[in-house]
Amino acid sequence: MEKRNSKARSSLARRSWQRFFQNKAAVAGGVVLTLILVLCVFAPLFTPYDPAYADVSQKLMPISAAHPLGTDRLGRDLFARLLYGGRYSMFIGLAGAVGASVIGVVLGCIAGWFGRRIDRALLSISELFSVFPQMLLILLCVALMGQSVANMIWVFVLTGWSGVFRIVRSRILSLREEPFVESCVANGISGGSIMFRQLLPNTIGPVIVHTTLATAGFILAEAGLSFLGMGVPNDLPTWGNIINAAKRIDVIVNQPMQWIAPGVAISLFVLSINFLGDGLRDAFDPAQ
Amino acid sequence: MLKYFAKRFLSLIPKILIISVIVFLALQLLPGDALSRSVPPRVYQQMTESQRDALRESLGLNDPLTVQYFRWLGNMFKGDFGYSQSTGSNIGEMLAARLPSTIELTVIALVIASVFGILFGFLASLKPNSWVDYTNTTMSIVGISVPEFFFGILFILLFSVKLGWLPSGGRMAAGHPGFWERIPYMILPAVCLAISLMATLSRYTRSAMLDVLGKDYVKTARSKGISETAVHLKHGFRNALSPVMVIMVMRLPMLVSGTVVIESVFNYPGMGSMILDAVSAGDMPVVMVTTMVIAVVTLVASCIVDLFTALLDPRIRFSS
Repeated sequence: MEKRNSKARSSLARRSWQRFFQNKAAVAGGVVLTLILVLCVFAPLFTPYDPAYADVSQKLMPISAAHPLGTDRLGRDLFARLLYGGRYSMFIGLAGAVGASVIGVVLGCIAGWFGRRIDRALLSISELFSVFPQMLLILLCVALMGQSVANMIWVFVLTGWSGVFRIVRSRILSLREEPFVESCVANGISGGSIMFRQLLPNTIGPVIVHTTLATAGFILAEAGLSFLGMGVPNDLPTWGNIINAAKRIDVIVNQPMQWIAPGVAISLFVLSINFLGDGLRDAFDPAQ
Repeated sequence: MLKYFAKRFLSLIPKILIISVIVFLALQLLPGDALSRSVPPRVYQQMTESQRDALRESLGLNDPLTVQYFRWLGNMFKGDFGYSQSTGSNIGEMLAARLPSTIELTVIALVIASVFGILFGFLASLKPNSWVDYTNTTMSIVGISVPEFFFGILFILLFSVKLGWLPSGGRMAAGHPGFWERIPYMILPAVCLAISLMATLSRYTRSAMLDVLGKDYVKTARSKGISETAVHLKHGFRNALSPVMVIMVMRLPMLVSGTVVIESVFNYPGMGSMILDAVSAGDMPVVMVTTMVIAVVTLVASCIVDLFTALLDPRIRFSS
């Protein structure tokens, strides 16, 4: 029984992967994503510069062999700042999305399994969160908690859980009525075990896709906040902080590389996540 | 129909109350003298301690919290929102100056996003998997991936600096306060604000249309010999519209979030810049009251869009 099951699953998985690889945009997204990830994670291999080192004699240098994207107004190498900045932006986006998903999954399980009053209470809280403009909630938290990388992640976790919560809750509500749950109950399996070993694995696909897309969303949100000067402290080179330096009209006109480079980096990264996430959803969850 | 409207409006009240209770409690938890938030700061500084005590008593700041809450709520209906800690101005007056310009910008963006988003999605659904469809799909993923402030900077460089067609920021030229004079100032910010919602709406319109066109009643309509145009518009489009409107209501808060960033890019004097200044100055009463007002306005706006949808959807219109 066990063997047949795993075989059936593997052939279904194989078909899904085949469907995925036929989607050229999704594969391209995966390739670009991997490329940017490798460049940022192994940044020291690709650039000899320290992103924080200001060489005043090298202010606003044009593109050259020594500085692939030139330098900024403090003489820091822009390419190095972009690579190291990517590390912060990705880490913040991913940590925020994973944290929000964990809270969403736990609350979704609780709401879906216990139902009734707990469900109704949690659902209305999540509704309240989703009707609230998230940016305002984030700004409110920033005003209360202050600016730091950890606070930024906390803010995303606190304000971003309602999407996953609703996915998990509705899945659990419908799965709960399936015959296999009844048979688990009849066999005396405990509620916790049914919940985490039988129901939860069935919700994991959409949750992973949602977490991927949420990472992209939080990277955009971090960039927007840092652009406003409300995100991460501005001595850290996140993509948003790099572009923050280009807010003045004279920089926009005279030093276009200062804002085009980080803008393209953010756009390309988020674009590849979105293409990949869409492809994965189409391939593995055709019902959605 | 009326019952549906009434129900929808009544469902707003508990949400608004919950938000206001949270903001009220948070304001109570703030450090410092509560009296300093209810009178202009300059007046507060000139008072002696005994005058303050007397005023506290007469303003009811020693009353139980529940009494204070309802008085606070009532005061807001009369336009009294308290005073800013950093500038000392009346928050109600600040709101009155800033709220209309943000609403104006958001409404224009909403109109642009819904008209073009739905139009593009509709065109793409007429010929699925054609080049129109692929271009539309690709453009809409680009639209949700590129940060709106990046579009903003690009537009400023292109349309204001290089081409000189439109102003790069502000809300109006001095001495020209009319609505039509303000339009050129609103085009760039409104378009930037609209892009991401437009992209989302076009994707949903496309999939909702394809979904509806596969339904049995569309086959029936076709087999009756109705022209393709009538099938698409009358049977397809009208039924596809309501799921699209649902998405629009859901995305409205995101549009409002976007105004904060876009107003900063274009130096547009709205609620966004007001809240940013307040956050930088650590002016918590302004931050909280502004947040609450925007949240309530967003809630009411979603409700209005919902009612529009109901008017368009015969399934809701005719149910008693």
